[in-house]
Amino acid sequence: MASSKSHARSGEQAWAKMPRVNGEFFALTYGAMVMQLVKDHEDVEEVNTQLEKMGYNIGVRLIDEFLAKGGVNTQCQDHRETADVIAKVAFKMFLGISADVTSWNSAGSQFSLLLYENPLTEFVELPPQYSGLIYSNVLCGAIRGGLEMVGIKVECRFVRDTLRGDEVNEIQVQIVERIEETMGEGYADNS
Amino acid sequence: VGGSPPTFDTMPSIACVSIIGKENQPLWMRMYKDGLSQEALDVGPRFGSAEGGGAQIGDEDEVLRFHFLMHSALDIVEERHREPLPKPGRAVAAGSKSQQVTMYLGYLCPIEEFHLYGYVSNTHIKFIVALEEREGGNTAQPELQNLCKQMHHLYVNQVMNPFVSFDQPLKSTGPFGMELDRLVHAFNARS
Repeated sequence: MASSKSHARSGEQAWAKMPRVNGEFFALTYGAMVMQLVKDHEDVEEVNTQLEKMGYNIGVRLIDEFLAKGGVNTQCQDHRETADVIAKVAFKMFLGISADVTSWNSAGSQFSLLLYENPLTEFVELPPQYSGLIYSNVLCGAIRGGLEMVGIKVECRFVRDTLRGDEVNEIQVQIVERIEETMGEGYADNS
Repeated sequence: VGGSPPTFDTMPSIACVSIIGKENQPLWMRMYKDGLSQEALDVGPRFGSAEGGGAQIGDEDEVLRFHFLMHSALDIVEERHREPLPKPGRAVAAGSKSQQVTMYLGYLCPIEEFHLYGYVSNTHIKFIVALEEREGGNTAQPELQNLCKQMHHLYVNQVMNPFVSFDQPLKSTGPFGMELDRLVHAFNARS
């Protein structure tokens, strides 16, 4: 099993090779998108759902890029390694930030990702009328989408959010099940 | 015999700062005195409530007076800020002085016992600073230019927040207000 340090190194190397964009531009683009969603959907919960869905669509595409360029060549042996790779390689490679994995439950089916910085929320202050908005919910969707494509079904949600006054951002990842590869219905043996 | 030596208070202190938007609507106004600050934007039923934040420096009349001062300054700002039209028949060299548009307008005018200084951004956001007039003091305040630049930076950072709209007044509580207050107090405290 590759060590956490080597994951961190892979992450750094991958980050160094990726093309960059101005961080302010990135934050402003995301902010404009969230604002538009807020204006289009009256309900904050609906916006949260939309952000998660967008994240999912990003995640299912991002996973291929990650596997190709992430520099992690060995398959993860267990969920702990998966979590480590997400935190140290994936977040580093795509957002330039390093996350920590904590709070494993006893069954090993749930963990938390701690994000100390978040480039999406660079200038953002949540006004009180949007206090239910999970601004960075796109990250949860991306994790869900990416993992689904490699056969792990998860549910992600934000349990702590710096925009709402917490000290760190904490995403709780619940591993639901391993997805079995099944043939589609059209291939069922009808004889 | 005894008593402290007379201090020459030649360093004028800022009495009021206001930020005025593109359509000449007031976005921000705060009064400062003796290390305290008071919200001056709203004159109405909410005046004096804890919402605005800050100690009570002046009553409603004071606040109205500052509104009047700031408004009078706007005429002079407009006059000074208008770009000089290129004279026909004269080739304008690149970077020549007549083409320079400076944001810091400097000393605008004396009104009652204040000296007003102005700073206009390219996007027509005006920062007006009212300094208390001191005897024997000259009207050039080089540090004020730096202060205006810093205020401009703070304003820019605030406006990058996707939830802040351009024509609405800015909230005085929160990091923007506190940082701006801190800048002004530091300016006033210098000796």
